[in-house]
Amino acid sequence: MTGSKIRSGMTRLVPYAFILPPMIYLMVFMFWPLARQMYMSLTNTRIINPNRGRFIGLGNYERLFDDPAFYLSLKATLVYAVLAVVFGVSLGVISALAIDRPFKGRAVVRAILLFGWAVPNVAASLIWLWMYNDRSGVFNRITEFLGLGRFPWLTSTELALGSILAVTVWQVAPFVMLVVLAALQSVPHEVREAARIDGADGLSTFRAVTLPHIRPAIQLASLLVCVWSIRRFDIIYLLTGGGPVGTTSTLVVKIRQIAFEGHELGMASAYGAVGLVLALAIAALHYVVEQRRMKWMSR
Amino acid sequence: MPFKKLTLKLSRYLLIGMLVVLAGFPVYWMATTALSLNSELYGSGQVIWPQLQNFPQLWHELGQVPIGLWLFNTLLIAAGGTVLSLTLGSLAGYALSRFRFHGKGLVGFLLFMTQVVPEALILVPLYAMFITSGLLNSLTGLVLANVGFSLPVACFVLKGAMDAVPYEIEESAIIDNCPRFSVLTMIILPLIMPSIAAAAVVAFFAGWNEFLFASTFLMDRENWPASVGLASFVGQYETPMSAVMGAALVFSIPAIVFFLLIQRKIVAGLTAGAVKG
Amino acid sequence: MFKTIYRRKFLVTAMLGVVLAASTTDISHAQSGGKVTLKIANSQWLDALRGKNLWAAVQKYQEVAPNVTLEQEAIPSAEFADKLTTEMGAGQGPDIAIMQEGLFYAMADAGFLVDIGKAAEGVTLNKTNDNGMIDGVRYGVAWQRAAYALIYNKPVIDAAGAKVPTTVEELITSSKAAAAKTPGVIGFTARHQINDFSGWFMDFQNWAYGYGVNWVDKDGRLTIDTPEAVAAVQAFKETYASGIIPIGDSMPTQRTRFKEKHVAFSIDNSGGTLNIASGGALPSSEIGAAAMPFKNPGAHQQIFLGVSAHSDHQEEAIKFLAWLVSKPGQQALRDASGPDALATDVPVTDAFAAANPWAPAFAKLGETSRSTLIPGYEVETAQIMRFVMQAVEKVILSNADPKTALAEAQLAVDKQF
Repeated sequence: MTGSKIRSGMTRLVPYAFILPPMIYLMVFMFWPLARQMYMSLTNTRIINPNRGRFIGLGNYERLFDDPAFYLSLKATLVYAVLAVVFGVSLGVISALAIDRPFKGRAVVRAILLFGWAVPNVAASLIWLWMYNDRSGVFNRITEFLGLGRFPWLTSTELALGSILAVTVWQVAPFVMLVVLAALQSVPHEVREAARIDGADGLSTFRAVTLPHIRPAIQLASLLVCVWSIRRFDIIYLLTGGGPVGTTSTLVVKIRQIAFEGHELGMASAYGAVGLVLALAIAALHYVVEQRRMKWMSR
Repeated sequence: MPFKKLTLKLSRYLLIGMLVVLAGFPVYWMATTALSLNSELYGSGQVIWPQLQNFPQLWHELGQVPIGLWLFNTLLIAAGGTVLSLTLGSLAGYALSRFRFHGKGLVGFLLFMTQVVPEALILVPLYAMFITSGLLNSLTGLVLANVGFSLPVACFVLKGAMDAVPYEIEESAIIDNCPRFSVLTMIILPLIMPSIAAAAVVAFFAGWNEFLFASTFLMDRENWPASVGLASFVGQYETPMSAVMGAALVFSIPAIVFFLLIQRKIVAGLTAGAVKG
Repeated sequence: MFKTIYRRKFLVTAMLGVVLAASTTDISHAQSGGKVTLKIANSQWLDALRGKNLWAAVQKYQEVAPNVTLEQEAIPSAEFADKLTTEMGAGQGPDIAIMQEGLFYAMADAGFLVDIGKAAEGVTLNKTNDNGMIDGVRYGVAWQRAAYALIYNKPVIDAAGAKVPTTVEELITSSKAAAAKTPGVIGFTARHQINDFSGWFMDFQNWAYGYGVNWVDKDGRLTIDTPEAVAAVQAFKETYASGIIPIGDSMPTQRTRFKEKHVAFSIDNSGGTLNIASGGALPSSEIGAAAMPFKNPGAHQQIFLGVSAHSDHQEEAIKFLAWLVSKPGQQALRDASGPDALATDVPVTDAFAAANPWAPAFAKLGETSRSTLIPGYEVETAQIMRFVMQAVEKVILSNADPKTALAEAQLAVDKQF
């Protein structure tokens, strides 16, 4: 009896033995730096002397909310994130549906469709930069050939964000495709066959049978794409540097600018805090919607 | 009926063809550009077919930079990050999957939050921390920084897979007083190999791709991974485009190959979480 | 406060635990029996052409000081300022840093550089070193000064019979003529994107100064929307709108085009021109240089060397600098620096001038060129100029009126400073 009592006493601690190493790790390398940085948003620290900032309370935030550049940046971030989700997920879902059923050469096709995700950011931005080049880029060569003239892909206030979106969608769709493909392959074949035999044509089969099965996958992918878009830096910075006229200055780009050019680490941290809150809000929204849907489903 | 089926099939193939072009063209263009001469690129017009005769020159230009060393460093960083992420991630995944404990909700939330943090935001505190601990300018330090981001993803993927493994399988082992840790390593993990592969891929690519931390924390050129090396190519005075593209390709190809080798496992691995008893 | 201290202790303990098995490479300096290693940071070490030559020149010091080993810290120019700022801010970094003026001022302002007056004793430094003196203390000596000029491809403009312009209108005309005459030729290359900000604002100073702009007035107030500035922005706008510039190309790409003989005119500094003149299809003898098509003198890029206050070998570093500004050091540097002006007056060799007919023009322009930094606001110049360049961007991309755009910039500047 004593033995099992000891065991049950010890077993209560077992979960912590498992969860503590990773959590301590994250505390040290992620959360403590983050907390320190958040504290910095309440100071006027300059990057050149990260230990000599003075506490200024919400001063940075006041200036931030007063600054039209902030709202421009917020708008750019939101537009970018939403469109990245809409187009990235659509393309990913379409790709997954297209190659779901086996055909000759499917492995090769699937491999090629993954290129966008596999190619590293630096390499991707370099080739897209070259393809968008006004004079020598292949896109303009094609449009010129078609008689449409040349387009200022990265230097026009109307086109720049769209051009960046194109690169993002190219990178993100493969990931969505994989997630949706995995879910598709878990739809039992009998169910699909049954629906088809019953005379339902392709589209209603899709809607009634397939879609419910892949909806959770689509939602997860959408959430991740959205959150990653708020965080994405390399591609945007390397392609447009936040221009033209700030149309592609997402929050993260501004953080880099303010921290390393303006040297204002405190202000940059404030921007970062806003970005963090935004992403958390989106995640919370997703969670709430998901909970409501679950409740509704199990009525 | 057959006619409809034919058009459907044809349009499907057309769609697949378009998708392949959209996805593959940039990489194809990388190859073509790498095999072009500067005079063509900046003047007479880029040739649309890869000119294999220029390969020796490209090889020579690439030989001017220590691209082999860069790739080796990248490999170390990616592999190290993968191993550490999987280790810690499986511990966390098992805990979240199998136990109930105080703070479980908080842990889940914190793990998710890491996906939202921009790297630039924790750059400076990490830098300061690495100085005090002597981790600056070392690949180890870089791995430690990267894992913060890939650990949670690994955790969620593995947790999903573990959720699909019925408890009965471990039950007998636990009753026999097998320590939980051995249950994890000897029973659970072998069963979720595909998901481990999936998590490995995500962690590997995160490490392979990473640029900001690498360029900030590493001082010596011998420690540079390929991402930093490639960026250094874009010089102040000129962009040797063909060499840049060649290096970019060399940097991308191992990643693509690795991807190809594991892709089947990835799909299966991501499936495992979706199928619930 | 307590929490921070305890957290820190916990942090260090936790990390020591984590780091237990790690083998790390420390940033250590060789320290055995008088042997010293000096680390020198420069983005130029990575230059395809000059990097090797400059390093070889610098290494000659090891011949006269055998106990010293010189080590490179090579950082790509795009990241140089960020990286150095982070390093120095954290108490790390090289022993000697080779920095553009703006960064030099920021470092000095933060107290990261030491007094190196001793290095300059007994040497006649020329005026390129003037800005290295801040508040009576010498924090930096000149490494190179690269003046700006109008450069052109002689065969291309001769073929079109275009003349070397002396005004912006003539520049546009000549560029168009040259581009029309030879297919595939671009009329004029210049930086024009906010993406290229750190280089663009320096290049733009040529236009500003050329039209007589002073960004500060006698009383030290920042004057952004002056009539001269409006004229400068208007001139740039006309050039941009005339279609002679390859829109969207970064400066490195534009320079590569020039090398491939596809550009008629450009405004560039002597460093960029040296690069254009070497290793490309265009031979150096076919490049010409002249004064820029503005009424007043333009700008120059100035690079300084400074010694880090965090360095463990400040004495040795200063000795190195002393050698660098002495005759042998300067001569070694001259051979590797092309036509750039150095810390002391070392003339370009005749052979070099003969092989590079564009060099003398730069030397002449270097006599009257101005610093890209705003006097009294050296550290804040980048921030101030960002408002200016954003205004320029609005003018060239959304057809804003220069006067209005600059007025907005003035308001923004006043709010912040």
